[in-house]
Amino acid sequence: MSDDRRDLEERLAETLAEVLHVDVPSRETDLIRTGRLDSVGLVDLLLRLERTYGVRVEMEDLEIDQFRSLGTITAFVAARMESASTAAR
Amino acid sequence: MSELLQHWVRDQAERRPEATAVRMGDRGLTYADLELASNRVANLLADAGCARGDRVGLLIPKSPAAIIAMLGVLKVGAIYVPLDTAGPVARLARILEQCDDRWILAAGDTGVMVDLIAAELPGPRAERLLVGWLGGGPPPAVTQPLFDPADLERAPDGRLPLRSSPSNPAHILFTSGSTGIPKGVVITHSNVWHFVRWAVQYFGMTSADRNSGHSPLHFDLSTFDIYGTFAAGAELRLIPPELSLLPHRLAKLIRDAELTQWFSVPSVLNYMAKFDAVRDGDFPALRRLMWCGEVFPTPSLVHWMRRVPQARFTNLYGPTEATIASSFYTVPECPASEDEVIPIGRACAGEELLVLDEQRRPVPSGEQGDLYIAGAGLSPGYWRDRERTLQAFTLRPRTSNPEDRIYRTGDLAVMGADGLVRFVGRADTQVKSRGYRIELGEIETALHALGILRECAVVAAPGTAFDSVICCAYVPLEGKAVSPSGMREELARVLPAYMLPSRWLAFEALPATGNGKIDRRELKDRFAREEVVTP
Repeated sequence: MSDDRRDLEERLAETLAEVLHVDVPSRETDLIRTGRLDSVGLVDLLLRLERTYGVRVEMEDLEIDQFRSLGTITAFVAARMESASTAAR
Repeated sequence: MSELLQHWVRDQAERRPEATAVRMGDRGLTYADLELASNRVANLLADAGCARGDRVGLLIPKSPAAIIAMLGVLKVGAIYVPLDTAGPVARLARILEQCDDRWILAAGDTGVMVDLIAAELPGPRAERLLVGWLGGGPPPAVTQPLFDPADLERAPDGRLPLRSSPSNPAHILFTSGSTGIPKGVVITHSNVWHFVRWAVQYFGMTSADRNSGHSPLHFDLSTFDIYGTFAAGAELRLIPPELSLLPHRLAKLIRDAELTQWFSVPSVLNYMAKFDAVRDGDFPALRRLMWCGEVFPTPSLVHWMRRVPQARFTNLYGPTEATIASSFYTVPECPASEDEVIPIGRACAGEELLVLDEQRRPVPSGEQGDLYIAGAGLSPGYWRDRERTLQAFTLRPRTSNPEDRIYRTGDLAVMGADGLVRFVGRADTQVKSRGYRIELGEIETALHALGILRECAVVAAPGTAFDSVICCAYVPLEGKAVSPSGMREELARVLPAYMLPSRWLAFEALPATGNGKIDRRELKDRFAREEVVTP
């Protein structure tokens, strides 16, 4: 994993813990199956991603697997940030 | 119609064996499949020694297999206890202990959980659990199942002799208890039969219906999804739990499956409305939409009624203790004002709503009182908890009939001159979140047990515009390192996910009222203000 990706993952883990109060035991933990991320948390998380990371996700396009674990959330946010910066160039 | 729930499937299997009974994704079972598969489960249970009146925990994720297991248990004359497969192991073990239940039917990804639960139970290991493993995932590694999918395939699919009568319990549903211990509400065949008989007739349910199975199977509403569907010979479409996070996907499912009946809790309908998942003229096949469990905010109701004008919208009301619902109100036309209060309506056939004062005398119409329920839906009481049963279920005042009981709901209500009952609020600290009934006291008890807080108070505050949110105000004990995510993680070991606080605020001292009690109203306001400023 690149350093950038590791930093992003750490920041996202912090967001989850401090803003959403979701504790993440590991990057693979299934946050949805274990009930850590419910509809209240998901909506909060989407809001936060938009405000802090500039990643806007329409509820309509959402795939649950993108938000299943810290690992998949990081990959998703990284890809979105990447494509946004490519588009801006 | 027989009063025994398992007979409804039998009757349909004789009449229309090839009709679909239950479907989830691309897996469907006909009535004949369901009848024969549940006979196999019943035969295996009977051979293993499961007797009439035994309790059988179901640790099976929502699936057609879970429905097979329920019917199998009923056919052997036993009582099923649906368990939350996402729930903390410690809580599930406590529930099984409370029911003195050694039987478990398990399937799917719960093999590991079976072992973890067995480890939590007292007594010699081999005697803790008797497990029927129905397959669908890795089996338990330590606990040796009594039968497995290979046995199931070989098992006879003939009918067992009748082992139950209508007054026997069919299942026990566990709800949050204020003292920190979940309460097991005993529901008889006859309880369910009374409501379903009324509902099939009132809603005009037929074998052409395709009904949603949205509610989790350990939750009261699913009783109607399942048995209402089977009584009508209709098709039950089980909704995968994760779809509840995706309002547009839920809408797509209603559309694609051409559901004719949708029954859920208002928070889901609200969520779909807030994210605009319902289009104009959507769901042409939908004939009726019902909700239960909490107040459906009128603005969201209006949103739905405008977009799905052909459907009938009915508010159902009633606690688990009175079986599914006790009263109904069909909204006659789209409310003109978003401030309009939707009544909980009038009693279903065989039920009675009473609004009484502290001396349990009827209050005049238009005045507020405690809401009681009487009638055929009343549970016999809480499983082996005589004290709490006697507190909640009392004799009707001035009656000489010992069977004439009334149940105190804890809700405050007004009976209008029009005969319609309107819900006003709660008399205690029970709240509803996503349709779940939550005793805030149970959460506070669990928080205090962590041993790191000097004070704490849990309140429900209005959330991100579609639901109430559980909030915790706390004062750490001196010298203790305390973090909300850490506390949430600890609580998750003993409480189900829907009871975990989502908002937290640390205080040096909790705000108090004039007489020294915690000022919960002030706390609620505080959290509501936070809600507005946080994002």
